[in-house]
Amino acid sequence: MRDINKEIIEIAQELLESNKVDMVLGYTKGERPDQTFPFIAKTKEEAERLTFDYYSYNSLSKYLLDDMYQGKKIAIFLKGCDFRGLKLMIGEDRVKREDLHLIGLDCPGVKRGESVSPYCLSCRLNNVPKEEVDTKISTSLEPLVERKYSHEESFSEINDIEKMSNEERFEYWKRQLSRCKRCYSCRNGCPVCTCRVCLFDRENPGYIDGATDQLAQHQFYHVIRAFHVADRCVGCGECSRVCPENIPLHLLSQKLIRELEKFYGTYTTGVDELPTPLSTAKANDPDHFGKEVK
Amino acid sequence: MTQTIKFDSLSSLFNALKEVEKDYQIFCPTKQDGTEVFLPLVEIKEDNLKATYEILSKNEPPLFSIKSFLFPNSEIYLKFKREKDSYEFSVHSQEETPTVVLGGKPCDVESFGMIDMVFLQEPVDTFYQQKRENTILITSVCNQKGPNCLCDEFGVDKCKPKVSDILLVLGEQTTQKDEAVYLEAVSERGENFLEKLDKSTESEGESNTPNLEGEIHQKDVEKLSPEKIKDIMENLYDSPIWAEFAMRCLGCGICTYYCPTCHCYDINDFHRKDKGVRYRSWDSCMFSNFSNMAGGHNPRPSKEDRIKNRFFHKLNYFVKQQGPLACVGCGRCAKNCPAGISIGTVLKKIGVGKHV
Repeated sequence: MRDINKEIIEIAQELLESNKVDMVLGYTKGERPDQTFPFIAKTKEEAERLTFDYYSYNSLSKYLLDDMYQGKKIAIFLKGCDFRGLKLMIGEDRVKREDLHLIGLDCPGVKRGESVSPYCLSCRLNNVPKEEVDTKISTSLEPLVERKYSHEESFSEINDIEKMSNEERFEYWKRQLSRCKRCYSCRNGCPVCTCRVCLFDRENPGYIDGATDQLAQHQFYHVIRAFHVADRCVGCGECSRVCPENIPLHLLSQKLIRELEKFYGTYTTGVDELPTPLSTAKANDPDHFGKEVK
Repeated sequence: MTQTIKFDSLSSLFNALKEVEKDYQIFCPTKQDGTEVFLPLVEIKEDNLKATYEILSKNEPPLFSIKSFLFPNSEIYLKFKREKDSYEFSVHSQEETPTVVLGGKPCDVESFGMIDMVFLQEPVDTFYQQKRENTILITSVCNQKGPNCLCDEFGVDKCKPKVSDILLVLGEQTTQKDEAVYLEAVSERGENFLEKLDKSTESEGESNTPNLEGEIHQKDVEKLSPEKIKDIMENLYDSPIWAEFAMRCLGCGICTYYCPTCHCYDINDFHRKDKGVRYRSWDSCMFSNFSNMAGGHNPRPSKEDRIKNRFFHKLNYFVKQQGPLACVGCGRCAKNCPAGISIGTVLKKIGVGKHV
């Protein structure tokens, strides 16, 4: 088998040398063996530092929304979840497809510590389809997860929480969310949190309203955010991964995905066609509120 | 006067602390859902003690810094209300029960030395001052450096910090290699607290702290020179490195909120109908609205401007204004930044320090 890093570097160098792109957005190794970080290569020499391994967590597509990337020709390495997020951005005209050179990866899953990341267990798309990208990496790493997706299994963590009584569940989330520091890394790392100005930056300029209960405000923030990305979540798990307080935020999204299924059927964001279920309305949509009134 | 007292185990120290609990608010580190948190002593149960011991014996600071005990993330200044034509204002009164914070690491307590330079200078921040004077810091010393630690480089003595009231030494860190816990008073406040504790039955009485064992002095580490770094930074204002860092920065507040020396805050009013409060809350220079002005102008509109400002504050402005570098080398930025940007990566980029 060929070395995946060799192939990544060759592709990046070719794109840079032929001036097809201004920069290549990928991953590079950090100080420690278990650290891999986002990296931007602008020259052939810099491209030599590109890599891809089990610690390549970050969703790179999120960066494309930043002003610093707008209007530039960019090649970007994409895992499946990241590709799904990007498809949403392209579909919603947040980035221009013609500015991008997409390089698809066959993702083996990522690690969290020594074991496989829990988010990868419910992965819906690890291998980016060849026909949807400009270049497809042909080599792949030994997969960490068995490539058989089971719809029911992917909600097993939710099942455990649903087994709790209402009081237990409330206590569980109170305890988890009381650790929130409002650093907004869950929002900033999320590839589908794409508002130009976030509600929480516009309406709530202070850290938190000093007068009221902080926990209530953290609950408010996380529930609102979960609702805003309910039909957009691509299951990359970045929200939970970046959270220094280990709050299992991905569970909020998973719960909402399952609830939405009851109304709109199975919809896989970034795989199925746009629009997402909640960004459109049809005459025959279920109307539970209407019924309640009657 | 009591200098050092010995407890035969962590659990006997906690029993002694419980006896003085009515006169103090005591906070200790432990784990909740596998995550390190500081909890009031009363919430720490016997089964939490193993996690507490683990945190104290670890040569790495706890997840969140203890600055929030002296500089809370949100704090009310004053309360106001209106009744018909009359208005009433009252300054929010501070908690008077002294606080004891057990389990900060030397880097954490040294950071108060830096915040003191800012908040205790005229005009004095009285809210911080009152808490500072009313808090007893029990520092858990290190006898080795952790994976992200840069304390030696930043001149923090990991075995004997300058800012502290009591030092906590675990027997396993010393030549004794036992389960004992030693508390050594290093300030008057600390001595008074130890005297109270000593009266409790659990203590084994006066003792001497045995010698620490481990990498107590790292001879090959070059202490960073604030002056030298300040001068290097002077030439880097227009350097492309800030744009490079900015391109992978997520713009979240992890580095600033988890940093023990960051101390920026914002003041806001919160009111509903006829009453409300004026409060301050932490702010982060990494947020896009940090320097937003009324009228919409933002002098630091891009992530590049913001990240540059953060590191200039730490490595240049603070040196000019106060003397030291505004970092204690705790390594929390290195540990928690989702994009791998830390004081260490910046120092490396600007070509400083051979071990960072």
